[in-house]
Amino acid sequence: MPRYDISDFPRRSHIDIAHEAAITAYGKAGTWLDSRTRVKILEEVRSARDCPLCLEQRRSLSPYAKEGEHVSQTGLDPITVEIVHRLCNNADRLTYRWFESILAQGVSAEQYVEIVGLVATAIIIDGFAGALGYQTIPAPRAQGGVPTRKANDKVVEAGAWIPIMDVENEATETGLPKIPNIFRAMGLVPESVRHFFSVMSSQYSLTPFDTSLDRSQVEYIASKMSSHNQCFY
Amino acid sequence: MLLRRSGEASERDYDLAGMLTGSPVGVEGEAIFDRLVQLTYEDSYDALHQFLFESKQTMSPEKLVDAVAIATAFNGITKVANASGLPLDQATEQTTKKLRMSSGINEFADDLKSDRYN
Repeated sequence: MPRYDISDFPRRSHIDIAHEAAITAYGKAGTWLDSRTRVKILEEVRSARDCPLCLEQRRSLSPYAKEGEHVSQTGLDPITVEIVHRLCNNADRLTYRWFESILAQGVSAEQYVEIVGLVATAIIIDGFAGALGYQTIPAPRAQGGVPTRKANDKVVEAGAWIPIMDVENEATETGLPKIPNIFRAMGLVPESVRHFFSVMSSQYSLTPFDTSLDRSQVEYIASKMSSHNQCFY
Repeated sequence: MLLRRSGEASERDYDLAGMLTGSPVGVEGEAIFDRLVQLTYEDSYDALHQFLFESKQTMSPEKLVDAVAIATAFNGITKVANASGLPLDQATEQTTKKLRMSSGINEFADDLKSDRYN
């Protein structure tokens, strides 16, 4: 197949800046995970797409029918590898039972949230670079430090698998609440919310933002991608 | 869901069932967006680059890049929603009941997925 150089397509500089900063943050200790683990999670995301087990699970009627070991070279523990690979390759068919099995193996809800945030952020950053023909931003060196382990007690049970951010909410003119549930989802770990949305909000906003697309086109693309991901929300 | 609001604001009538069935919805450029989103979702970068290069005959590179920005952002944020079993916002649930039924989105509900895949 001929290769097409699209790297001269115009990119918005604020997106590049947000991505660089977010990748740098992987090298720092988080709230529940140390810096080495955070960097390894970034590296795991980058290699997970080639995992044969994930491919088999993807092709199966039920992704839970195929058992085995994920291919991993980062040295992460198997449970974290399982979370990363499921999110990267079979997130459209995650179930509550799977989530429960993860917690039953010793992962706390807070650790789970931090992992989810790191994976989802990497998927955006690397997906954007790959889609536009740029090299991925190199993984940073782990800087050491100690996780803050600061629990957030301003959370509430709201029907999700995990407690979400507790906020005073009010509806906007769009009919959506001022702070939608998706913003509250990682409320157990506020730093994960900040990290993820530093990237997400550089590319999309509910309010007017820098884009050449009209709102219907923006929401069409968003809805189509949500559909591919079988996202109910 | 915001596409519905967008249609109301611009007084355009979108066929939202097409979001899942593939029939035309009525958004300008949707055929290009469909392919762009699919290739982005599949990480099929070589094919995507070829498609973007060819599509700049009919859509500006600026719009194509902005479309990639939205697509990749939602490829990430849907992982957060799926991984947390996130329920709809109460107001959204109330105002989109018919829409979710007609569009087939209800099929993606977490309890149904658990029944289907476990």
